[in-house]
Amino acid sequence: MGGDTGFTMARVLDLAIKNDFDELGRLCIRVNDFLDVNQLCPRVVYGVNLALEEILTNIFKYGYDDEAREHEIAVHLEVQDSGIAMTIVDDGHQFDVESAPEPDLTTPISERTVGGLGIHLIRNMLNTLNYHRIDDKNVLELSIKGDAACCGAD
Amino acid sequence: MELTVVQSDDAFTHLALAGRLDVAGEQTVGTAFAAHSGAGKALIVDLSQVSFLASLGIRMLFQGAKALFAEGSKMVLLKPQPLVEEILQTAGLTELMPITHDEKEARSIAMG
Repeated sequence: MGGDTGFTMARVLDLAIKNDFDELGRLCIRVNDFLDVNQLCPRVVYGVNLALEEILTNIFKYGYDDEAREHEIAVHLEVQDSGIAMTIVDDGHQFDVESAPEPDLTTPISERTVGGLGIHLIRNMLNTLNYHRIDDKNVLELSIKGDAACCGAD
Repeated sequence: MELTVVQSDDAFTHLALAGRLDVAGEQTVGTAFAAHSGAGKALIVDLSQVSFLASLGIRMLFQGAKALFAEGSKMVLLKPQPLVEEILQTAGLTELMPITHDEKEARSIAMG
């Protein structure tokens, strides 16, 4: 994984990946190892995987026009009680996930498209989703709470 | 990600998916799945071994269901794991992709 800072502690994981779909699988392995070690409940594990998949895929697809140039995306995960707080920072086009429109669920089902579905899914699974534009970078802060009763942590 | 044909006859095809239906999973099974859903026969899709489903995987399933609907056929999703089922319910597409945990009922819906 290019740009990996290698900074891994028991409760914190910091990774940096390139804007390349091949990086997603490698990131997923590192993140799930981290989640396993911290014995987080299945819903937290699912939510973290879903958020990373949907947000990083969006950044890869729509964040950049200069396809030939590599960009670095920083991912920070921190165990908080029985849940996870995440921060994702990229230097792509400004995209405020918080204000992205909900998919139209009123269209007749046979005419329905699934645009915007990924963000709709993570909004429903995560507890917080906060967007900031800082120094020409998108900074997305997310969190998902766990149920201490089903977790090994805390 | 794996796609297996459990049973296939003139009336319906019963598929089983296994693994993570994410970007990489969709790339692995997407073409084969589209071929089955484009065959015009009712489709039962066993999701019991799918541990993770994201929007790209839902898009794959939904495009198949729409193709079948256009042909007057149906797709039924069988035995999704709880978190996968929660995602499917949140997506709001179960009208076209009904979910059941009973195989007989799946056949009944698919053939109906």
